[in-house]
Amino acid sequence: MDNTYKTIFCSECNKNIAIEELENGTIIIHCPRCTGECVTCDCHIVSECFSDSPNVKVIHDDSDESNNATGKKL
Amino acid sequence: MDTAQNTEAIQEPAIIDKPQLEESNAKQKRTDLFEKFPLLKKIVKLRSFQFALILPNLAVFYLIIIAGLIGTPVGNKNIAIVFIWILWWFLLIAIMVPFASRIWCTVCPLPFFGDWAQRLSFIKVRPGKTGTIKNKLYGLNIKWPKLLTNIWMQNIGFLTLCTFSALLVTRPIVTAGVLGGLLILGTVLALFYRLRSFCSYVCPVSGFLSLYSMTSTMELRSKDTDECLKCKSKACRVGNEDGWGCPWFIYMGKLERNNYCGLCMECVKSCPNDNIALNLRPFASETKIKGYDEAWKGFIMLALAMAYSVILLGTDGTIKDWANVSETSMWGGFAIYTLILWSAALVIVPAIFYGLSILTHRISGSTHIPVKKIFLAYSYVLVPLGLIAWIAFSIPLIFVNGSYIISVISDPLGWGWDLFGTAGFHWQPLIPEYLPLIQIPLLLTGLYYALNRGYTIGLELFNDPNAALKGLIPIGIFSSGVTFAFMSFFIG
Repeated sequence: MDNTYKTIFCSECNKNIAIEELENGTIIIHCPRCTGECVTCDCHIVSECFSDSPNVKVIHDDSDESNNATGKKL
Repeated sequence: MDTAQNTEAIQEPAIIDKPQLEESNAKQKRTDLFEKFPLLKKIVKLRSFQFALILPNLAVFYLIIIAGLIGTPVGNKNIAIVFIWILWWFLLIAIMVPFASRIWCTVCPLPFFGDWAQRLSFIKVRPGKTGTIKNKLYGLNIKWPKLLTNIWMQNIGFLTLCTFSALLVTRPIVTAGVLGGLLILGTVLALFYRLRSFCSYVCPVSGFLSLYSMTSTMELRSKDTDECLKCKSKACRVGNEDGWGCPWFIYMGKLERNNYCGLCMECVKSCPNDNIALNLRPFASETKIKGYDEAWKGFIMLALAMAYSVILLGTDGTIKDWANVSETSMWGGFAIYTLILWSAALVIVPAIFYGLSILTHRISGSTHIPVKKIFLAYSYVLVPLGLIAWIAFSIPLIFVNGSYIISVISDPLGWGWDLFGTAGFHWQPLIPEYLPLIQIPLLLTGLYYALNRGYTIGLELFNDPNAALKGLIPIGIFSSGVTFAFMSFFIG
């Protein structure tokens, strides 16, 4: 199945993490470690989350493992 | 504002790390106060809500600082000492934290001027764009240094204040200096750093509030996290024309703990889906300690509770003299007292706990679980234990010294005024001989929750009731020992 979605690369997890573009122009990273506590978030890409990030890329993935770090097809 | 469903190819991503055992069980035991009391929600949604609460608090705060600076130096005759270290402290530790989480932060005057400097508004919201926030904010809006995005500064700050507690809680001018200093610091930091960086990373009160609020019977959460997943604005976090972006950097869609939510209620106003609930829940519902900074906060608070019990309730006056260095000038003794206090809080208690974790690691039979993971997980046990020990310690404050509140209301500066006719109210300790009858059941309640939650933690860690039970033995013995030690201090 053809899946196209936007991601940002996390060098800590060494994989592309799905992101969601919000209507107000920011992105949110669907990191499985997220607990909603940005105040103490130690995620490697915390500076990208809820930002207007230019580092987003679109990937096209036909594999069965088109699940990203969140574990579900997008 | 977003209400549209996402019709694009992106579906709702599942989350591998589902909320843990305590969250899924406890979700069944929530009562949404906003649904039960719609008037409460209506009030909270008013833009003037927080300002209306903070303003009178700020006025009292100002009076307290003035009283501390120019009022009588006699502690029990000065409103600064009586209101802060008797009334406020007792209300905070015994009522607000266990029953209403970080409700103090809702009304705290310390960030008032900083918030105003950032928003240039007391009530109105400014939509716009400032960094990740969709509001117009002023100030430099610098991100807090990554190395300090934890509560270590708060840990050290609190420990420092407590080291000088003999001065702090008896000298009005010291109290005024500390409070005034925190107010200035909070304001200055708000000019440079974004949002509530002072509250999140520096304020020493915030430090222990963050840990102990995990036990609270109240929480602010999203009603339905699926709604949050579908939400295309995440206005709770980034703000909109109805509310400021969360000053505490909280994204409600994923929030699982009370630790860093200051209950400012902006998300209640900004949420486009009316998806925020103010829940009542069982005591000590959250058990997840995320980092060593939080674990050490638990060690520090417990060590301090024990230290104060020894110093203030013990029979040996030597340590009290060492602590009261400005009166006794026993600097050598003060150095020894400081060394003992800091090493107990930062080294000895954690080391004992680590030793217990090693024992748990062996006794439970689950040697595949790293000791560090056991250490971190079980450090939560000290949260209900420590909070209730502090409450039990604070009971005499209000019962023995509470009568000073009545007299000081009429003569706040100790200048011989009698504003309300109560200045002559004599000191009257209330049932001092019966206080152990309140303290002992409290301590046993703390022990119960420590053991109960310790078992739950063991179940999550080891996935085996037998292992959980065995694993609880070392920490259970420690918790019991601590409880009985407190009892011996309080009973005498």
